[in-house]
Amino acid sequence: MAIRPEEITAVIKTQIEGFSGTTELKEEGSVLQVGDGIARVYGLENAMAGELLELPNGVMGMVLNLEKENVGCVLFGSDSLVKEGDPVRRTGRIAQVPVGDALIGRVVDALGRPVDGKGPIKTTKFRGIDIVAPGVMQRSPVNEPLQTGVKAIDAMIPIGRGQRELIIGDRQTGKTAIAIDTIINQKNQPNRPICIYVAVGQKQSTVAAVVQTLQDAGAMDYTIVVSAGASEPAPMLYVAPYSGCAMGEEFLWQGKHVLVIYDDLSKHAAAYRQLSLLLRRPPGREAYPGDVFYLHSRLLERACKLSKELGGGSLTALPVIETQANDVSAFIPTNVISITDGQIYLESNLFYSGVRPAVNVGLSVSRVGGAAQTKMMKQVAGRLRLDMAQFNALAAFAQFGSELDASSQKQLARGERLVEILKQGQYVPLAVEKQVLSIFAGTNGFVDDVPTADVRRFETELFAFASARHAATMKELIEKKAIDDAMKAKLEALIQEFKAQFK
Amino acid sequence: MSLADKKKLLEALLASEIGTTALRFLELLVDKKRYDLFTFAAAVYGRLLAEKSGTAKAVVRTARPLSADARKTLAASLKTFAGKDIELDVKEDPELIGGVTVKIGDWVLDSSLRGQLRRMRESFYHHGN
Repeated sequence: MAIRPEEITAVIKTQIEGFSGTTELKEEGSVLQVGDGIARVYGLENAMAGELLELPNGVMGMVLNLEKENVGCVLFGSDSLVKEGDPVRRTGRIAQVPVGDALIGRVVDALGRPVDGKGPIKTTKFRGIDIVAPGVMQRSPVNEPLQTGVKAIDAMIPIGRGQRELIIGDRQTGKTAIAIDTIINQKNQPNRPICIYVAVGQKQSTVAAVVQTLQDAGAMDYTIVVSAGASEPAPMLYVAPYSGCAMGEEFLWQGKHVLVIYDDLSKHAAAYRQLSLLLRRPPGREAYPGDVFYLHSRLLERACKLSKELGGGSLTALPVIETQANDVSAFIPTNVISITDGQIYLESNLFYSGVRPAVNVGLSVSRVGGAAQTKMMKQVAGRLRLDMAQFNALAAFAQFGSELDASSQKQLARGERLVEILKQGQYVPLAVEKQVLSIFAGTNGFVDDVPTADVRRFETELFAFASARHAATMKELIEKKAIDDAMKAKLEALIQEFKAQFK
Repeated sequence: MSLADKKKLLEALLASEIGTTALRFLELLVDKKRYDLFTFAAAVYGRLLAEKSGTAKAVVRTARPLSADARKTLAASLKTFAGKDIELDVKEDPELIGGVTVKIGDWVLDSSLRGQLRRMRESFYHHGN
């Protein structure tokens, strides 16, 4: 594309002609103290909490503390560019981020500025990053499923649209993998949700890898990535989840569905702790400030399912928390567990023993998702949960090497195979009907005589067989969304036919 | 450097310059290790002083020298703005290029050429996002 200088001159000319700003009246304060990403400003008596301030050299600040004689603000930029005595001007604006369709497919920072080198984001709409969550009358109960594509979750810990489900576990247990799988799985869902992945305090290389994975899976077409990396100042990490949520709310109020992943809130809390301590707020338990609960509750309350009158949009939140040595009774994990509508608990023991995704089905719960689960899944999963619970109790007992009777042996064998069935590779989310078929085979004893080592191969070949020979049955299953007697007979026949030729 | 040394130094340097009350205040700051609050204390003191005297101090910066007439009209119009008697503190600042800026308390009235150019630059930024 050739650049025509006269065109550019014309644009600049019209802008200069339209420019009128001979006199400006603004409140100005001066920097008293600056350092560690915060500044104390004298003056600015009318400053609002959360207001943006302009400092020299293009540094922006956000007011967090309003004290009798001064204002404490956090800096979105390097504090080395600001020095004592510098003028600070009010903008009169509460912190906000650009929102709208133009953001989809982009990677932005915590203030909505593009960081993917794909040019400016063309949008004129902005939203405040810290707003009050919708009230009781604006909401309706969760009633639609959000399919993660992960068998263990969709069957036993179902998530509904508008729910807040915590993903918790030690480092390297596959927390992010579940989140990414969920985003990828939305690709072919009806009423596809827009996904927002908020990376808080992560390595830039990790974020780049996530973006690459999403791109390869074709998932960036409906995804926004908000990245506040580990190298960025703490204020950026602090606002990133709120920014991501604000971007989602734009779609929510348009009646669309949104999925927001906060990865992870432990680092978010740590960033907020840093700010609070520097602002000289009193430290509490684990040195977190007193309002660290409110920090997360006001963020997660913004996840909701809107009533029909308001368009019926939903914003599902999947916060991630990293535990230290499986300690869920630390401060931040207990806080977030109590705020959310359930948790997916990942365990390193399971992960290392090859159970991947390493979901501990005993400790994981979903308090509201059951209402949103499809009927067919409910039908097969009820049995699965029971079988798994019995297996876990028995397996603990069997460790003593005691002799077991035949029925217990059978239950153990069943459990071992169900564990195999619930295993799943990374980045290969499964459609609901496939999940149902696989779990149906497991809970109805069709795999009891398949050697444990062959169960996964059995499953893959079963899927291939079903789509090649019984596409009509699978289609019917999708449409009916339930397993009646006729359907049950068809599925049994399908699996038996497959078993006859399985070696 | 010990606290006692610091206080000695203060006395040696400032005893002849400032009153005993002011000196005692500085020593108190040293004693309580709050000397980093000095700029803050000075700012608050300035405001209290202005409140007490019932006048407001207007810091005026101009690009060119102000005539006596211009000073009078400026002081009169600032009085209606602030609702108080105005004490003018006029200084020249060639960096403004043209025009004038006035600072009364927290409020800054900027009609300098430098300010206009800055605002114009900002308007370009926001236009192109």
